[in-house]
Amino acid sequence: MSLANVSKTIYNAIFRRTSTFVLTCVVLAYPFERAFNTLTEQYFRQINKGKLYDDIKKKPEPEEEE
Amino acid sequence: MAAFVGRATKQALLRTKPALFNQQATIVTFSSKTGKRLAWVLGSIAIGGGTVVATALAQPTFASDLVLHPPKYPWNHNGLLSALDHGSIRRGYQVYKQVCAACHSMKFMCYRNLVNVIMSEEEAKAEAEEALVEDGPNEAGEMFERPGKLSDHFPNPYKNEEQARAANNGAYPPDLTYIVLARHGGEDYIFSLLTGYADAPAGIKLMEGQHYNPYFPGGSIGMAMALYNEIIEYDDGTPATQSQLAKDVVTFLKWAGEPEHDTRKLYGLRAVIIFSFLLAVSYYMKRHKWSVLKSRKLAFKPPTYKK
Repeated sequence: MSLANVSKTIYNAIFRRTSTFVLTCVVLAYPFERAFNTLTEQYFRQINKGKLYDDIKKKPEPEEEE
Repeated sequence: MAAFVGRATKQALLRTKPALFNQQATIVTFSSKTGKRLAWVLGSIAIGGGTVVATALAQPTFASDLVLHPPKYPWNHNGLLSALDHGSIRRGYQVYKQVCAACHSMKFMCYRNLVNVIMSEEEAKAEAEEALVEDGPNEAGEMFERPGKLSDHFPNPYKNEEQARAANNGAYPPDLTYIVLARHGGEDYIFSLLTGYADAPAGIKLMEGQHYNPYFPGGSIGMAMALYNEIIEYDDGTPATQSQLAKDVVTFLKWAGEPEHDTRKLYGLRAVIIFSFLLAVSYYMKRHKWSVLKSRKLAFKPPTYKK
């Protein structure tokens, strides 16, 4: 299937009618938000490694002196 | 004005050129018009400069300006995406509990706020039970004391402001919950204040019970230096130097004032990603919708009249 065909199929199946377009938005919103939130939080935890509560749980560790 | 100055100087430069080989011609061409322009330029500069000086002189000087401003410290939660150091918050809570809480209340903080931020639920429960909280009235109509619960606020060292003042030479130890937000300079100010005690310089007289701190507006502060090296011992074995104690307690107070700090930064990241996508989409849509209007051509065909 060529690229033009794919976009044509998608257009006909989703974008062509408002009903299918809105339905797609509503259905995709849930998995999108799950994935998006997970990814951003993972990134946030990665750049703040060692500073968050999960890092000091159980074993409070000495870190960074000023 | 800049254009006028440019034009005037350009003309003056052009006019001086002939002076190289004909002095007399220059004198002649330096007409009254050029002189007028020069006067205008000099006049505007004088008026502009005068206005600036007058405005600067008219600014009032406040006594609070004459205070030592704290330096900017590189807090490791500075930055758009940097979370608070929760290990530091935990140590800071220990400092607050063992040092500051003797005089300062934190009446808007509850033990439940500590859960999953610096300690587990069991730890926080044990922490709350150490405090005696007044509750009641019971069936006999009397108030009684009981061990604290997670939902209790931090205990007050004094019953009311009057008692606090009476115990502290008339100075009221402020509530510390939102103190970082409530002071100019925020964390830098609190840190400098805690570590900045000094002997009063010559000429400054302190009343009894007052101490000298250059960072405090006015210089004389009712609070004595509270943090010394090794004044407490940290759970996690961090060396308890004065600056470490101050840094930790300030981080704790920062968290107390803005408990949403980390979440806010995470949501900020999400908002920036989503909104930049939406911005790109709206830009594309605008170009798309306007392309018809922008690329159309209007032709005027004069009507032909029959004669």
